[in-house]
Amino acid sequence: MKQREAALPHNAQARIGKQIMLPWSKAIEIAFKSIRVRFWRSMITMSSIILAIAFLMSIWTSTAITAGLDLGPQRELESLKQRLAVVRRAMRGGAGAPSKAQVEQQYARDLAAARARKERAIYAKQQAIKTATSDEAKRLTAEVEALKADLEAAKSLALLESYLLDRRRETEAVKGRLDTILQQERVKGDAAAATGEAPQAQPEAAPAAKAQAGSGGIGTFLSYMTPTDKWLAVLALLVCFVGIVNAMFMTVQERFREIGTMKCLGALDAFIVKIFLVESTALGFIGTLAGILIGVVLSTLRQWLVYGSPTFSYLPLGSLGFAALMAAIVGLVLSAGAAILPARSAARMEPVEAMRIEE
Amino acid sequence: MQQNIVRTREVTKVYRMGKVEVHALKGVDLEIRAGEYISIMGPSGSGKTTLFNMVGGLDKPTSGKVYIEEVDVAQLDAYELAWLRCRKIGYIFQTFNIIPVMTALENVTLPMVFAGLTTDEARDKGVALLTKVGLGDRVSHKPFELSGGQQQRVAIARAMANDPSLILADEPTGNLDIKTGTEIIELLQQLNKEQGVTIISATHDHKMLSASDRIVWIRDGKIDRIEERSDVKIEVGTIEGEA
Repeated sequence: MKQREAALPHNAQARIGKQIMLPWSKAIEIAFKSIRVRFWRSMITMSSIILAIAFLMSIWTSTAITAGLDLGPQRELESLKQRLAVVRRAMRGGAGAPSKAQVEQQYARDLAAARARKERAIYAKQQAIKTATSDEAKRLTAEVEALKADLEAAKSLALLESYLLDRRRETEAVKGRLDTILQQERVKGDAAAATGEAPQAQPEAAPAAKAQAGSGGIGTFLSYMTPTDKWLAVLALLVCFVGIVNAMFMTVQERFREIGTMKCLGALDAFIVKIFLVESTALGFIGTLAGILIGVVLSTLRQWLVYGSPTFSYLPLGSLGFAALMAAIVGLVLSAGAAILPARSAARMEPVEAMRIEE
Repeated sequence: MQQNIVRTREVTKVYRMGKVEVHALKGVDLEIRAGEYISIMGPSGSGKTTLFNMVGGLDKPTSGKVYIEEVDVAQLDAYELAWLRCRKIGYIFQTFNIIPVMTALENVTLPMVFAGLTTDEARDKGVALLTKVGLGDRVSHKPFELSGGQQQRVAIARAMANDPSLILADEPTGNLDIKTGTEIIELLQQLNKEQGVTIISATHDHKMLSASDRIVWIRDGKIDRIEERSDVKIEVGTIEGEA
């Protein structure tokens, strides 16, 4: 690494070089050593961010689950209603769906195509018989007979019937889902009324329904936050911020002498800031992850005790992921931001001041 | 060799304590030659520590000039000052100031890292320096596993890390017992003789005087007198007898 010379060529000052800035890797190394050596001290600093993020995350999780329980069946209901309408129109031959005549035309076309394919197959096999041995010829003749039988008119009618049967089955299935959902709605209402008593009836939810509840508008749950929730979340973050600033100031205070020594050994201010920033951000990162985990688990358990298994049927994974991401960003910004002030005050100190303080 | 490594001109320092102005230094002219072993002596409150910090580039004078290797310290920006502290000056403190989270070797190599040496170069040089101060077998010990004398040896090795031309020792024996203190003084003396490094120490310790080429007595913010080594011959005998 080169050192730049000061730009005063004809002066003695020229002999003084400029100190180089050290890479982040060095700051990271020193910061992690310091965390390891002062493990319990670091844990206390970290606990404040864990608590704040766990609190924020539990509010978001319970809101998201409540929103999921509310929105999930609603969305499911809507889509089923639409599906039902389409099927009904198809049965009646209404607008927007193929009419009976159209279905029959389509069927006739399909039938003609199948017939053509089979006729081609019969022709190919008849050609093959000409050059085949007697055993093969027997087998091929049997196949040709079977194909010819398929082409009989009576079979076509059976196929049309099975098509109509399928449509009917689909309608029945949709009706069945509607009943299930209505039952779940009732269960949820009962649970809310019975204040925390776990419901008995646990209707089974189709996987498709879960996906629908989770997808689409993963951020909509935020509108379910009550003003109290928002106020509490902001308050928790503020307390956490002050807590980290305080903890970092204490850490800096404890290490005045170390900082002064480092400056005497040639550390630049920016390097000292880097060390403290890395330390705080690393603690913030681990703390945020722990906080998110604790918040989600505790809050989900609580919701499960109140609402029972529909909590998991309609678990809004998309929303939870989105909330976790936001909480992670908040945690990191908070912990890094809280370290800036103490770190700068530490770095700006003259080495002499730093040395003097301990007595 | 007769070049001045440190030169002060009319240096004054005024501290403001509330509304009261404290004149810590009242015009100090001092010239320290390269390769000298100098002790700054004086009662507490005499301005001894202030002068010491001035010549070490740790504090800036209110008026007057401080030159280190003929460079005006007041003219340097933060980067140049850090460079000077890193490469030209080694510091030894009364309280050792070993960085507690690092091993002996890491403490010694830290200034080399700041100077931009590679890890391998720094490690080899660090081990050599620790061996020189008699701690070759304690390279990977943490500070709390070392005695006071051993910690001060680590600090001396650390001060020598970038081959400085000047070592500043602030009461280096202040926290040590007589025997260990004497060992540390001998080590400093040896570095002074063998490497030709200039040593400036602020001290109360009369054992220090025997090792010094010159003793600068500070009283009331001014230089009271400067004694040559020859003037304190008698004391040398007694101290060495004790040790």
